[in-house]
Amino acid sequence: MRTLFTLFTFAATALAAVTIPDVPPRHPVKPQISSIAWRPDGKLLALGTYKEVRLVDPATQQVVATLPGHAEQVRSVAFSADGKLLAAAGGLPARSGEVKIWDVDSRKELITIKGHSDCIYSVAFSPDGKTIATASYDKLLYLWNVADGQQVRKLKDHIDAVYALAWTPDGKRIASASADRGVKIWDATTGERLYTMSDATDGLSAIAISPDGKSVAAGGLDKTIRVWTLGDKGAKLDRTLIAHEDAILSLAFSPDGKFLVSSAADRSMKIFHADTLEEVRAFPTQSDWVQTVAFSPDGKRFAVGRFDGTLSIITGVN
Amino acid sequence: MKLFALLALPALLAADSLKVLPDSAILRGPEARHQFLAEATSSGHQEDWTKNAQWTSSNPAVATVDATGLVTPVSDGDSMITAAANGVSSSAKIHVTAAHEPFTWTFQNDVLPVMTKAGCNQGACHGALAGKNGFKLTLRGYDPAADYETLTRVSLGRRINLSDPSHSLMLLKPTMAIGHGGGQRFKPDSLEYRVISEWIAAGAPRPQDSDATVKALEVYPAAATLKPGAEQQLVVRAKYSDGNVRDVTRWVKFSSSDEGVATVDDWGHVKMNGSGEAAITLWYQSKVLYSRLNVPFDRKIDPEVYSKFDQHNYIDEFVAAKLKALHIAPSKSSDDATFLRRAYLDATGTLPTSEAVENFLADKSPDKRARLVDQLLDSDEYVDYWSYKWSDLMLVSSRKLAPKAMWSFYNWIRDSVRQDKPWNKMVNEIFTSSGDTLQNGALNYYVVHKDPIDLTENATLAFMGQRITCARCHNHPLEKWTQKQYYQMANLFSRVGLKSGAEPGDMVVYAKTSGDIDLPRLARPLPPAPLDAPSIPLDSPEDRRLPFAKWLTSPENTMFSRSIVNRVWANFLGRGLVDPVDDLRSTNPASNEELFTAVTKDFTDHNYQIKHLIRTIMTSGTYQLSAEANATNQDDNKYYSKYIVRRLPAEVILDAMSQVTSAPTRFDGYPLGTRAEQLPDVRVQSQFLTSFGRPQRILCDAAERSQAPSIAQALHVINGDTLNKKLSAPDAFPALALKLGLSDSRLLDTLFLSAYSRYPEEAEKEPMLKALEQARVNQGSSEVRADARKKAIEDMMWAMLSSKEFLFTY
Repeated sequence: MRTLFTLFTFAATALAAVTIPDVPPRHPVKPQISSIAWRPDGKLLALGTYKEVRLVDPATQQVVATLPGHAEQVRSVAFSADGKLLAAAGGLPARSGEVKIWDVDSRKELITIKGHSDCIYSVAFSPDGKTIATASYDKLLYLWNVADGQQVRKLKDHIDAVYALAWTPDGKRIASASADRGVKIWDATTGERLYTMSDATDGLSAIAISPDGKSVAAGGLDKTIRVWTLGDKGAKLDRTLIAHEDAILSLAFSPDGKFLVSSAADRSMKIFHADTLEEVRAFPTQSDWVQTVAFSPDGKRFAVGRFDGTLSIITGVN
Repeated sequence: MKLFALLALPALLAADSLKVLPDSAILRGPEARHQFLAEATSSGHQEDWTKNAQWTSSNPAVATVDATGLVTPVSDGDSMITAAANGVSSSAKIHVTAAHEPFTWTFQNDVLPVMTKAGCNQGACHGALAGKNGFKLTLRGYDPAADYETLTRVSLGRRINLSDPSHSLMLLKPTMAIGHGGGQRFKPDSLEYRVISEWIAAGAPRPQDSDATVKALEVYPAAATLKPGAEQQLVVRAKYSDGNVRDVTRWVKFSSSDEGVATVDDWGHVKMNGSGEAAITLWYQSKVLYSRLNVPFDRKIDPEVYSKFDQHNYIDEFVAAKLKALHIAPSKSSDDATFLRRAYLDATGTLPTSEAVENFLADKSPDKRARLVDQLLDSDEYVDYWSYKWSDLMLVSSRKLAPKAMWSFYNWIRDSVRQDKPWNKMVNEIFTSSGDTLQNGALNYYVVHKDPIDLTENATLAFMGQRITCARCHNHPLEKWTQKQYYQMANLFSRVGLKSGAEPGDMVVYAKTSGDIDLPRLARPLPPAPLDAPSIPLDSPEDRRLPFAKWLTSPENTMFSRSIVNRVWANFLGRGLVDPVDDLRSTNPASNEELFTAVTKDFTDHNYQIKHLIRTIMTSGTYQLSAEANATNQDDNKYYSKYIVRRLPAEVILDAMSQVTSAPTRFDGYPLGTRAEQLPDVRVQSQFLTSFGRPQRILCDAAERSQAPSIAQALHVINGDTLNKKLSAPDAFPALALKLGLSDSRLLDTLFLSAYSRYPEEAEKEPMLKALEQARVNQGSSEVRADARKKAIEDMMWAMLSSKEFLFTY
């Protein structure tokens, strides 16, 4: 039996009411894994999936808890440095962004932040845990106060969707990567855009800052990994490598900063020496797009989440 | 209620016959639907009775049919679908198979066609090069694999929701459940919605290499003669590689070649608005076709008109048949003087001399027109004229060629024309030769087209009338050519080597053993293939141009023969059988397809000989029709019911002025007396030629030669140096006439004969003689008198040479 429900929306000129049929999936769906984060103690993984976060024990790969109630796909998850809080972000595509802050131990939702006019693709805690930054398809980044969910800053300079962001380890700066091909460096205190790296020739979807905070790597549709050294007034493009045969989906530095792992839309996944971009290891073709890679805090393993909903924890770098 | 509805329908005329179209169908799978048409024929025209007919199925347990002729499968088996109306009936056979088998919509054959029809991937929306609002599809779905990733995975799969399909952005947006800049493209209760939502619900299966592909389209009716104001539904079926045939009418993009005659809506429903013929073109999944619908002009024409039409060869039969079908009467035949002038200008680009006119008019033999044609085909002027024409086509000029190389190229063309080298042989020489460009002039084609992309596009246009440039960046949005075909074709020319020869301007063309052109989006080369022909292996050591040449000039490649036939035809009849002359895409039908086919076949049967083609055209009654319209063909410029009046080409006008005034044009670097039509180069300075539309030979495009009128042209004729200097030259005709002491009457005759190819009429004579008389000065020195007389002759000639009768062919 099909049920009917109605979605109301403001069209450009009038209130439109379109009745949408309810179409159930014909087969059970294994929701995609959009994002993975390791708790800093290395004993818990958070996976961003459809309408919920799954907490997984990396030792057994069993789901130990689910954190429900999210509006749609949870596209980004991040732990605070002390491992006590988890930010899970998503929202409704083309409508709104949403972040929920969870108390990890009690599995309790602390606060829900609503903002952005499109869904959020990236969320990250400041190193001191007081602030979270969000990046959205609506071209904006916001900084929010974790304690009360108040918006602190609006970072506005990108001209297309912002897919990825990262804090520098000192908490002073934020780097963002956008479909507009630019990497921007922001002053986290003032919200001022400090400078832009415009070397990419197509939209960017992934960003990673090295553990020492000195360099930033980004990749995207041009299949190329670029690594810049960050300076006060600008960055220097250090290394460039056409790393895959299709768009790069995700990038991560190993905690010791020696390696860089990347995945791409040709279902490939590779590990490179971070300082030379020399290939260390190429993995067999993956079962589907690897949308997220994350190193364990000890650097001995990394977790891989795919579009087909599969999770792998890979041991050893080379 | 039902009775009332029936009464409200238009009364049906008695029909000679009724036919269900198509006459059979196989419905495969539970989602197969098939529209049938009930097409009545009544006294020579068709009527669409689909909506008026009573539809029944002989076996409703197998298939049902609704009141509109739409058939739906129920279970496997056979049934007859019958339409009955007004005492006549007709049936179609239905076979239903796989009616209860599990069914899933496919991305490539179901979802993409829905999106294409809804316009999602059109150039103004997400099919734009930069996409729209961050969402980019390939134009009209030319790259299904890329579109699939974009829709299902890119941006973390924001556009589909596998867990909750109806909440997918790709459904919420086009239904306007949430704001959409493109407005509502389909409704939630539509089949479009069902196709996409059910595909997502099935897990959004990805396109497979094994998916059936569309091989061809068929349309019902393929042609019909209808009444003014009539409406006609079309049914389009796609034939797939797996043998399946589906009614795809709903997903076809329709357009009309002539909205004044017929308009068509998104569902293939045609309305005839006026008289004439229109092609309703169909585009589905990069396959194209058209249906030809016509409405005869609403008038009665005495059948005798057609039997009286002076028919000389098969061309006239086809023209008469078309004119008869459309109720257009042909003009009467042209008189001898008009024919003579036209024949000279069209075949040789020159005017007949006054002597030639006098002789022709005096000749009483019945075959004099045919003999004239032979005489013109044998003339040097014929060689000049057609060498110039093919030089336009092959872009001969000193822009990219050193003088010696240009001459080598030109002389090769000239020699080919002189010999009447078969067109296939001539073109073959370009694509099969290697060696020295000064020795073999044809090879300069590669010097002009050094870039393989240029070579691909220009050779395709020059020799096949196919414009494939669109396919460089994406599948042709209106045509059947795909980007893949484009780069396979381009890769045929990736190994044309050019190196310097023995002297400046000399180049050596050779076949390289390596080199490929990549298909950009795949970043790899594809096996080279001539457009729709099989490919050759990437590692084949063969000169890749050879299979191209073989395919290009083979009799099966009608694009090749039709292209040259159309160019020659347009030269004589003023409009190609397909118009524009070099736009032979399959959605641009000929104005008389049967005629075009027949002329093309005759041409290939006669060994691709241009002279045979020209002779056939020029000796036809059609070519010899008057340009004067009758009451029925004033508006006809398409079906050859009369000769089409047109301005002469730039070079022909200039040469004619030189000829009539006896004052040749001086071209820098060429001997005095060289006519414009004899120049091998278009870079020879001439303001006159430029303003009258001489092409620069940079683009391979018939439109590069401008036929547009301009102020500059008027000024050139009225005030410009060109004509006035010719008239006042010391040994020009006015001076000569004065020296010879020609009488006014003799002078007038000579001028009319040489400029207009006819004797002056009495009504013209009288005022002109009077004017000449009045211009005489009877006092003063002999010099003053001679001056006045010369001035009068110059003025009279100026008036004649600036008139339409001189500047036009008719």
